[in-house]
Amino acid sequence: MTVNPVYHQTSDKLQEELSWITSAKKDPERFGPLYKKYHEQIFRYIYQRMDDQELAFDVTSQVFIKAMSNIHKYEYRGVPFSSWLYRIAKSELYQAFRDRKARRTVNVESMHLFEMIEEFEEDDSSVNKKKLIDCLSQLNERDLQLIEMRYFERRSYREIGEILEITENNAKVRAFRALERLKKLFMK
Amino acid sequence: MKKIKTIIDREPVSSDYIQTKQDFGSVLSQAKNLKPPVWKSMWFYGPVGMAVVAVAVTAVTMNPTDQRPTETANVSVEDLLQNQLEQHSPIASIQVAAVHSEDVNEEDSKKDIPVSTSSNTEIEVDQSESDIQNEASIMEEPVIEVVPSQNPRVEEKPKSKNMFPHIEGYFNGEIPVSVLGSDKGIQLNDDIKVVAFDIHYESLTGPETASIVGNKVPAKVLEKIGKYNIGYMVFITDLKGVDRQGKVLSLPSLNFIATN
Repeated sequence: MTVNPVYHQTSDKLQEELSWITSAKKDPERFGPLYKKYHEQIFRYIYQRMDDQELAFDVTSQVFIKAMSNIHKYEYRGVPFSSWLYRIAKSELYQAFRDRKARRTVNVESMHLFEMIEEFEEDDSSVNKKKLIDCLSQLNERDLQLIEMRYFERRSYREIGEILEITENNAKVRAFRALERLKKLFMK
Repeated sequence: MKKIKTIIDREPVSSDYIQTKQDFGSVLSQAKNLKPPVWKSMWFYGPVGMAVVAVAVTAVTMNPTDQRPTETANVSVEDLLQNQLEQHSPIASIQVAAVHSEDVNEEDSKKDIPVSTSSNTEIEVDQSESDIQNEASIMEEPVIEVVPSQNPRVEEKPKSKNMFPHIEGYFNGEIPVSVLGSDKGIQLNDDIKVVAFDIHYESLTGPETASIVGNKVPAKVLEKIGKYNIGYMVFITDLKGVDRQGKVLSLPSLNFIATN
């Protein structure tokens, strides 16, 4: 499994990021480097979960507006700044689903579906693919989020844990249970 | 719940395209223009806070059950009697009115004075005699109605006298020792019974205080007062009474001069 290079950073990079945050707290115009660094990452996270590209850009902007206006509340906890941005993004995303009638979308590659069916020890047929897609839509939001992050976005358990504010081990257990539930639905 | 839409193999968005959509200037200006929500501003907390405080104060002051505990300690005698009589049957008010009917008449006669003066001023306006007479009669009508003891508002004022404790009708001043030791003891009215008091008197060894439970002066104390206190002051203080609802009340003190 690949590791997200933007998320996982060296301690030097984290210190550099912290200095940007400190200066952004004093002057919002200094938020620029953080915006440039994380804009794409946050946009992809949002666009992965909705089908309207323009709306995804709009929601991404909203995430950074919220982040800038609340930067004084941010506390460094030894994890990348993006984990805080992801939490804002999640909140803004759900608000878009509510207020802007955006549709919750799961973007999945055929390869990911194939890998998952293989894990369930079933044939890679179009029927099974359709069945798996059907099962995905039956999952609850929490399980779907874990499946998405782990199997479709290829995030590490550590990253999932930091985004969901849980431990790495907890993320591992939850992701496994979510997969088990998906398998149970698939095998019905 | 909305059904989730699934998209397979959507065309990926290039990083270059995403970068072209970056607009930090716009985000910065929007962040600067972003005002805090109304409920986070001082303008909200000022009026809303005041309204909440006003409602709370009103709720506390309007609730009669909350008033009672605060009143028990320092309640005035007049207010207590008024509350008592309001809570009880009209018989109580009639009894009090009957006892003090003279006072009522006195007070009502005082009230007549402004009525007569007002009729004089009307004469200066050059109204016809018949009109004046009619108006005078109209003005006098409520005065006539007020005089009888049926009006509870007029009756309530004189009731305050009944709140003063006494021994066989002695409220203060000289009191024979025999009356001081009356079997009826310290009385008040039918609604309130005296349950405890302190009595201060002179004895051979100097001033003495006895805390008594009940409403009668004990024979031992009476004996000492009779022996050493004739012509001197006897103070009955810290009088405690209990009303029909079991509420303990503080009552006014009695000051006597013991006589034979």
